[in-house]
Amino acid sequence: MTISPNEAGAILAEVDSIVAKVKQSRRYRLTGGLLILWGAIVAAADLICFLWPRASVWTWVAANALGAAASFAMFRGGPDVPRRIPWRFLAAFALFVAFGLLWSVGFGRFGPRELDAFWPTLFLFGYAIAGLWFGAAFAALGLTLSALILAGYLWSGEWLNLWLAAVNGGGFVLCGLWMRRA
Amino acid sequence: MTINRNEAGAMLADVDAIVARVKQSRLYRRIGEVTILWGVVIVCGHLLSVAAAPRWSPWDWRAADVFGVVATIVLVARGRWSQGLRIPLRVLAIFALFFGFGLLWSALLGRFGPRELDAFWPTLVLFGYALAGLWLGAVFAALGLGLSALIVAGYFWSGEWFNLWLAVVNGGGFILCGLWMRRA
Repeated sequence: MTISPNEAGAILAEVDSIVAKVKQSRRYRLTGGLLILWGAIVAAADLICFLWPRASVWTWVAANALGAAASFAMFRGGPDVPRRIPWRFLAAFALFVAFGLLWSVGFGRFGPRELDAFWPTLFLFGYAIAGLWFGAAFAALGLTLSALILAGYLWSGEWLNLWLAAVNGGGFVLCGLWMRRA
Repeated sequence: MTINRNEAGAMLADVDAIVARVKQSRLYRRIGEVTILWGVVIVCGHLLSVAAAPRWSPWDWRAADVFGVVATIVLVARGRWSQGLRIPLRVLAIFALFFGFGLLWSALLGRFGPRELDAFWPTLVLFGYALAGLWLGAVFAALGLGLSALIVAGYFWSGEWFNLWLAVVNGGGFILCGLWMRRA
């Protein structure tokens, strides 16, 4: 059996396309697991803040510590883990946290309502940027949930924490489930 | 002279690498020009804010921004037509996302005073520089982090001279960065 150079080129392009799809699928699976984890943590923390507003600072400190520890464990133990530590992504995450701290704790005169909206929109902004390279799902997640958070900030009144538990936490869980199936 | 298949492959890879570098260099030159332009716009905006009454400050910046956007479009369009250079859609999308996030917090949700507004936009753009530096080169990251630190220092300690400080640090920093990019 012989194949022409054009056919060989087409077959190689198909192989490249399959490799790219497998890589994206593995990336989606790993990120999907992390999204489900953080969605559950965010929903629980927002519910606690809704029920006991005075405990909100410590609730978020505990939720972030739990989320970071669980993410690390998931990242080290999962089957879809990349071989090398993604230093660039860790550095990018550190930059997002530093920028968020600068404006939420340093310069910004944020009240509790602004703080509740600032951190999710900051990270979803990162998701939207990531979506330009890693797949439309990230961009759609970032933009849609940001719009819903903005709507909640403007119109949900006293129910903002409950709205965030459903939209932000629930949205992360749903997107995570969808990404694991993609 | 004959070359075998492996040598031919290596030579083609070299050619590909050189083509990619030339493309990157041309893109750097074009972005460098835009960065210098915005550095000048920022210097002028801050100097106008110092010279004019504070109530005119928002209008100074609106005028500066409109001028900057129009001049950027002219620069980019001229570059495209004269050199066949294409600005990647992703770059434009990133600018739109940064602008959208900045507008959301500076105009709608954040309760920023004039001093916070003066610091917010430069730190947001420099945060983008630091992020880009993780993929495009350490110089961007160094600029983003170094200038952000200087802006934070100015916010706390420059008192009434904050606008002048920003004209030098932020505007001057952008011009220096643009000059470096044009040489890269």
